[in-house]
Amino acid sequence: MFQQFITIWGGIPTNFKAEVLTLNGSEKTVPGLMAIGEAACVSVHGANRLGSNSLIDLVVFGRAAAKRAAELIKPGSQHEEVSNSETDKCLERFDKIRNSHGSTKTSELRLEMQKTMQSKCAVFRTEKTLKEGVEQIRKPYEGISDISVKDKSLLFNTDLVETLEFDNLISQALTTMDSAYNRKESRGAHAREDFTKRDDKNFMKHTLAWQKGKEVEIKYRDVHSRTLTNDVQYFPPKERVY
Amino acid sequence: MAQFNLPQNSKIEVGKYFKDKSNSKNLKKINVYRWDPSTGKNPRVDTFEVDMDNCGPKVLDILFKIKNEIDPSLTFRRSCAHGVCGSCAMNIDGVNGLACIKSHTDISGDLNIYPLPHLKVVKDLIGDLTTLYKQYESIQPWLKVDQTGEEKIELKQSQKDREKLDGYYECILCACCSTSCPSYWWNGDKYLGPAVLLQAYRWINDSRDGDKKERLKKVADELKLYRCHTIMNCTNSCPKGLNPAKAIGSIKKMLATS
Repeated sequence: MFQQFITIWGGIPTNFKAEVLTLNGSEKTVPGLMAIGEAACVSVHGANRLGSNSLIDLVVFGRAAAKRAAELIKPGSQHEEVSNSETDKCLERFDKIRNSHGSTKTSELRLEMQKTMQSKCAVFRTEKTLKEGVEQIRKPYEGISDISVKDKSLLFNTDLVETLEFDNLISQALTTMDSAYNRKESRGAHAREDFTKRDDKNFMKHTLAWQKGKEVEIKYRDVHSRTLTNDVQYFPPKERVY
Repeated sequence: MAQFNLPQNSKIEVGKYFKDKSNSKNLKKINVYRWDPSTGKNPRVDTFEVDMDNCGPKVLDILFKIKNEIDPSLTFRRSCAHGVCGSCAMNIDGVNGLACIKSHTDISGDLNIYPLPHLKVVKDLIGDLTTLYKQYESIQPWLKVDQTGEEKIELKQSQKDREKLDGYYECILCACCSTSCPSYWWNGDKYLGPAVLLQAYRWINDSRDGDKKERLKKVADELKLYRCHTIMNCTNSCPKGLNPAKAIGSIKKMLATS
């Protein structure tokens, strides 16, 4: 079967104006950087984001982002000069992957990644599966050093695109696996069979992850427990019952 | 008698032969059209021996198997994999269709896979649909309503009027019909072709649209519309089971009776 990816939970932390936030508890933004939709995490969905929840990102925060961008940018202003060292980084990555001459096909590593995520980081998780997963997912990551791209052309090169996609996905997989392993509770879509209850005392917080090579550094960020207006009060999370 | 010669680089050559390495007893030979413009070489047909004991049921599964396990450079478009996006339209065993919903078990013997006929090839199985999209744009495929008043009102449609769009709104613009049409092969730059005319009819036939007369006038053209000679290849090839020939017939009838 052809596996398809539907949605991801979490994303780049932003405020309600779609501006990207830095780590510390303050609401300090990263100037000029915005994120919306699937890429962003505005801290409104809780630990689950299903179906029409995405509409709030589309309708509400899409509009908010546009309004904020219009506020921040003066008409006719020039783009800040991007230093060569930044663009070189992108081109280097592109060239490096395009000229890969290893002996492992992208599809092999991708399949290994898919199988590991499916068996170790699936809907129901345990300490055992996640611990094995944390170790196993590094194998396809390290496999990149021996990856091969057969198609070297610059026109509709799906071999290259799939390899660039794999490079992105394996980073996502590493951070997902490590974040899940470190969250020893069940919350929203993260269901652990060994920690079946939500643990607000220890885990009422967002996971933040920094991927550096095959290491992932995990930190946390508080969730918002206040509203922006007095018209509605804050809704504390409740136990999910059926 | 006049003699026509094909341009040199249009001749299709015999390509590479990829022998099976899995020692499978259940092999199928898949012949695939290959062309990479960056090599400067002629197009060729590569043959892949594919182990059918370990392959999904659809033609697209074969292509995935070839790309994943045999030759990663094989290039084709695909997205949804269940017949709603229209990306993987190609010529399969001589018939246009979607690789994702066409079962390979329906095809006995070797399987020939080519790009959609009579399009400029971009690479391997990918045809250039630029002209078709321009033509689609030309019929203005959006609801045109004259609401100049202050208040914009909801446009209601009765169930009966809504049913008039059945068989037309389902078109996914995969281009299987247009590229199976000899009239479109011959006059593709001027004749709108079945896909775009079906879309044109979808808007002409929409009870909410206020531009019916203009729309009819726009397609009433010797080349745009009347190059349809009811060959019916379009209806035969539509993977969604729609009837573009009927839509074109309906437009002609409307013009004849209005």
